[in-house]
Amino acid sequence: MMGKHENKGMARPQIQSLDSNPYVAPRRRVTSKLSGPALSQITIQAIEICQAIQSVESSVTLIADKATMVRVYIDQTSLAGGVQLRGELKVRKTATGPATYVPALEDLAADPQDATKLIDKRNLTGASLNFRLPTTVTAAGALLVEVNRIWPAGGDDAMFGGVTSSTVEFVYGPPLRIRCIGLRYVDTGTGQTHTPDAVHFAYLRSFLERAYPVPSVDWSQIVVEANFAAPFNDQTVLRANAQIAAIRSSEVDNGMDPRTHYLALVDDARGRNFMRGRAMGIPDAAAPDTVASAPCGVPNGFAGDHDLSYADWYGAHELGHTFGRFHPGFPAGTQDASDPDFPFEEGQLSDADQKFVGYDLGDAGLGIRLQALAGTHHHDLMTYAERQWICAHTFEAIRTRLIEEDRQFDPAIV
Amino acid sequence: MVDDLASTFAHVIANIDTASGEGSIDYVLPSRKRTASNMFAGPAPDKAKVRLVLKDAAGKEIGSVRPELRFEACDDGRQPHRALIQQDVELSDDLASVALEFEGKVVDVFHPEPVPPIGEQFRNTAEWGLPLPGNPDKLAVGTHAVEPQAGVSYMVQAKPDNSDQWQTLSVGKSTPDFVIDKNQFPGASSLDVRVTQNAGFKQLTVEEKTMKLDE
Ligand SMILES: [Zn+2]
Repeated sequence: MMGKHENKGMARPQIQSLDSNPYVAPRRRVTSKLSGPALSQITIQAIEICQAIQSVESSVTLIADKATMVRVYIDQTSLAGGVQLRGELKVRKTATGPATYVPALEDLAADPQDATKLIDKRNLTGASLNFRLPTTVTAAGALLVEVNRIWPAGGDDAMFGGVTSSTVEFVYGPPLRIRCIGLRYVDTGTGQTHTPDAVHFAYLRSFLERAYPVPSVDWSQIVVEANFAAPFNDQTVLRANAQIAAIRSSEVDNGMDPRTHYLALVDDARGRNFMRGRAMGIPDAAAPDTVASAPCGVPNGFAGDHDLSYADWYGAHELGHTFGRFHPGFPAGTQDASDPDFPFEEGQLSDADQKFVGYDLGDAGLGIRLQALAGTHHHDLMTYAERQWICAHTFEAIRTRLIEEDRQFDPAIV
Repeated sequence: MVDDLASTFAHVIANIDTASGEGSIDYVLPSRKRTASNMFAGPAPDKAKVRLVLKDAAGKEIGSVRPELRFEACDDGRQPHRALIQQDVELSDDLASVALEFEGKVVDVFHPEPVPPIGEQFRNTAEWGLPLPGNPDKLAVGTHAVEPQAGVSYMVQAKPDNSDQWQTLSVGKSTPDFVIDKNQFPGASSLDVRVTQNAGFKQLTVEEKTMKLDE
């Protein structure tokens, strides 16, 4: 989905004058008689600027320097015929400042028969022109996003109207500072030693970068010997948390940034030694020393997860507690409903109005593709429900807590 | 000993079950600065359920704090009752022991014994980076010649040459024998390694050396 532009088989014009050679003159677009069906004016329904979770009005706070996508929704019923549409944005920090031109990630396969409603298009990444904003334009402050051009592949620029621009604000957010400690333990039953695989660290780190309200993750990791052994009992997770609290204290005493959250990963030995995760505390004020431990392993469908690791959303849940996030209470009966302010039914990312859609902008390094996550089909990561992502409520609350921690425990002040 | 690190706090890590009254003091880590986020835990009122009580050598109470109880989250939806304590206590010359009390009853006591110096014994017997048989990425550091003692624990820290941060590889170990996995330091060619003794409320560097990793 995040691939390069492709020429979808449209033939190059046969009559090509010398001055259209790209090495001697700017490349000229083909004449209209060689392009697709003539376009009447294109109507743009909406422009959505999205990070991890967003409404079509772009009401969720945009974090400066975080990966950002712009979706341009086009009323395809206004087209005369089927056509591959391309697009280009013009983005500027101020109305008179220098502009950056951003090409769409892919063509939009537009079809006048396609009457998909906007509300449903939002759940399909292929139903809009999508643009990845360069980091140079997502610094804190305003951003003016304009649709600069839309054209059929191989054709002239089309006329367009409707919602042609949007102005949004990017807000400074501190990084997420994480020290992730793999606890290597011996199973006294089998004599085997169990260490978290690299994929679990990589998935957790990537998930936090993609889902959390942060521009980046200041990440470090290490594997050390656990002070416990398998078989596990109900004391194991307490021992794990006490151990990383001790490591944290000694490292902060030796210069580690006191805003760093410590999280332990404990391998589940292919399900034989599952240590249920725990955060030690749900602080009602900034307390970055709150520690947490999480299991890691291959999900095989655990909570609807079929990829290589469940350490990502599981770790993000336990870390969520360390940022003061309580349980929404879903699925009912499986967890306490200790967050009375959780706004969405069934722990979803959105109510039935589908106001909010989750966006996973992907991670090429891990082969994770761009996805729109339907708000009524996915659940907040503080639930125990299937298919977890972050909802706007959790996104904004963790964002606020991160700012409090950043200020209160800035090592330059303490 | 090479150096007294002039600790002014001890970071007490303990656990307490407020339903059963069971608990323990798990780590007492002398530190030069506060390392907990709750900077201002108040003195313990007499009726506080959980107290850390500071005593002098004669067993007389010289201070107490009411530690913040950090109850576990994700505990089956029941009322959480098991808590972690991560509390800095200020050190004084008189301090001889710390007691964890629950409803007035002592649950556990940290009462270090006087410690004879181990520096010479350590230096005479310690390995620094000897590869383990059959596992050349794992390097032995320290010695098995030192006997465990109440109130004394050892810590090993390392700082690779591509980082400014000391990393703790083991803490709370009763004897100063460690294994360092050199694969935990990608991109580094050497490692500063420091063995520290936490003896009661004092932190002493036993020895610090630089090890080559690319040999
Ligand atoms: Zn939880």
